[in-house]
Formats: sequence, structure tokens, C-alpha cells
Amino acid sequence: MNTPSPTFNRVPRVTLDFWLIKLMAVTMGETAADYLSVQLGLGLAGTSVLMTLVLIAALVWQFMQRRYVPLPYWLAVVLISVVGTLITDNLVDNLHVPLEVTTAAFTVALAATFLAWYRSERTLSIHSIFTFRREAFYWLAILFTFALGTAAGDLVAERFALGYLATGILFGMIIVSLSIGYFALGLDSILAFWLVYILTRPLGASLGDLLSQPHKYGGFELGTMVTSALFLAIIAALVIYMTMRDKGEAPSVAPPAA
Amino acid sequence: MKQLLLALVLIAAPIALFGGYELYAGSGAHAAPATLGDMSAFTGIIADVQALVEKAELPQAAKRITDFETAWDQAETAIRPLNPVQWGHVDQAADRALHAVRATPPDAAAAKAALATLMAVLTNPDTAP
Repeated sequence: MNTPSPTFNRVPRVTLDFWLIKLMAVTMGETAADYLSVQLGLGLAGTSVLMTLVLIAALVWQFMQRRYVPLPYWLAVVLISVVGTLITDNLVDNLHVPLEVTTAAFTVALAATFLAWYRSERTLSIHSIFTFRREAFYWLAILFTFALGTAAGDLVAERFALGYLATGILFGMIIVSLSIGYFALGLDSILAFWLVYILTRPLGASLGDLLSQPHKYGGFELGTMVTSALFLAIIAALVIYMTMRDKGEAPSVAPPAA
Repeated sequence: MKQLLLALVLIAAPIALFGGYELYAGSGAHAAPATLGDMSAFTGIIADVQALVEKAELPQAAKRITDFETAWDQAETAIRPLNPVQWGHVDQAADRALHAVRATPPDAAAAKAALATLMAVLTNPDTAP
């Protein structure tokens, strides 16, 4: 860019409402992926192709903003949540890849993303997403955290047959533990952020399954459509609220040319 | 490195706590190997499909087995974690039965055989098809 202008962080500050809406988005991602592939009769493969195209369009819109605007940002997160779930489901259901393998593979992919990000930018800070390249690393990392969170959550559910509520409580406890580590024991903020970001995926998924699945399997039987619609409505309300209130992170000085 | 260790401890501590509680309080609940549970909704549909194939009404049979496919896919999220091995057996048999019943040109003998296998696996999901 030739025109000098104030540089904005292109992603939101990490506050309580950030985590609230993130959790809602993953819950909806789980139930919406279920709803689209089963109820609409598009099949898993058809749904995956369609949603990936929609996601790409949303990401293009997000990248064009060059600053944090709640609507495109959260639209991209919701869609990544859906697509991340579909990728894992496809690998497991259509390609018969065991969950142990997908969990390990996404862990490696995420680690490689962080390594490449750090090598290129010398930081993994989410407070200085100023450039196209940093934003690309950010979204790639987010895609892999969703895929990893899905695979790891399903793996725990399958291996230990804990049920939706118990799985939710387990992941909730780990998140609380990491939060205590961050607030009281000096756990690094960026490490804590990404770990909790991964773990909110299985927490949200078990919440979504708990609400949507039939009584006889220990759910509340709201159905995937009602659950998805309910959470989408809450997300929309939060995004409208954020649009009216949140101005993103304050403009700061441009990053040193690397 | 110290940070990674701290993170590891913070993750492991609640897992240990949770696991300990599960062992202490719920040893009965989770110790028994879970099964897929009541399969009568599925065997009922497959019995319908078998009757239609017997009457040489393969187009109707293909329609009815789609009801099975929908019900089976919908139940996946709920029942697959109960017993992934059993679920895999049924799913494999179901794929073959769907394929056989929908085959063009129709092959009643192959459809009957695949449906019989699916029925057997639904009745006893421990056997691989």
C-alpha cells in the first residue's frame, strides 16, 4: 500500500463478549453442519463444497476491510466453524480416517502454521494483525484450531463414551484451569489464548449436541434446526450490539517494515 | 519451555480430577461396554424394504430404504459414540444394502442378500458384515 494511513488491528480484542460469541459460533457450527448435511439432503460432500465456497467469499470480504468490522469477521468465524466441522466429518465418514489420525494430523498442521507464522513475523501476537500476511496466518490457524477441536472432541466422546453433558463439563474444567493459569500463574497470554480457542470447540459442540439431540440419547431434543437458528439469532444480536459499540483496537503506529 | 509445561499441567490437572471422580462415582455407569441400543426403528424399516423386494417392487423398496438412510444419518451424532465399532459394522452393511437396492439395472437377488446381511448386523452389531 502506498498511501500512508493509520494501521488498524484487523481482528477483535479478546474480551468476555469475544469468548461468548466464539462459543455460540462453534455451537452453531456443530448443529448447522449436522442440519445442512442430513436434513437438507445435500449430503456431506455437497454441503462441504457449498459451504467452502461461501466461506471463501466471506473471507474475501473480511480481508477487504483492512480493519476490524464485526459483521464480516464473525461471519467468517461462523463459516469456518461449519467448514472445520465438515472437514473432520468428511475425513472420518467418507474417507474412513480414524479420529486418532485426524487429531494428530491437525495438531501437526496447527503447529506448522504457528511455526511458519513465527518465522515470518517474529511474533504470534493477535494484537498486531496489520498486514495481509499476518491475517492469512491468523485465519489459517483458526481453521486448524476448529478442525483440531472437532477431531479431539469427537475422539474423547468416542473413546470414553462420556455423554454430551460430561464431555462439556470436562472441557469446561480445562478452560477454567487455563484461565486460572493466565490470571494467577503467569501463563503466557498468547499460548493461553490459542489453547482456550481450541478447547472452546469441543465445549461448544457438546453444548450443541446436548441441546439438539433426542431425549433418549440424553439431549434436550430441540433439533439441529431450532438449535442452529437460536444460536444464530444470539450471534446476530451480539454482532449488532458490537457494531454499534465496538470500534476495534485503537489505531496504532504502522509496523516496522520487516 | 516452562510455559508449555505450565500449560500441560493446567490441562492435565482437571483431566485427572475428572477421571478420578468418574472412577469413584460412576464406575458402574461407564464400565459396561455400551451398545448402540434399541435398533427396532431401523430393523422395522428394513423389514418393509425386504417385503417390497420380495414383491418385486424395487422402486418402492428404493424409496423406503431412503427413509432408513435418513434416520440412520440423523442418529449418527447420538449413537456413534456409544460404540464406534458396532456403528461401523452397521454403517458398512447399510452402504452395501443402499447400493444393492438402488442398483441399475435392478438386481433382486443381490438386494435380498445385502438386506439380509444388514438385518443380521442390525440384530447383532458385533459381527462385521
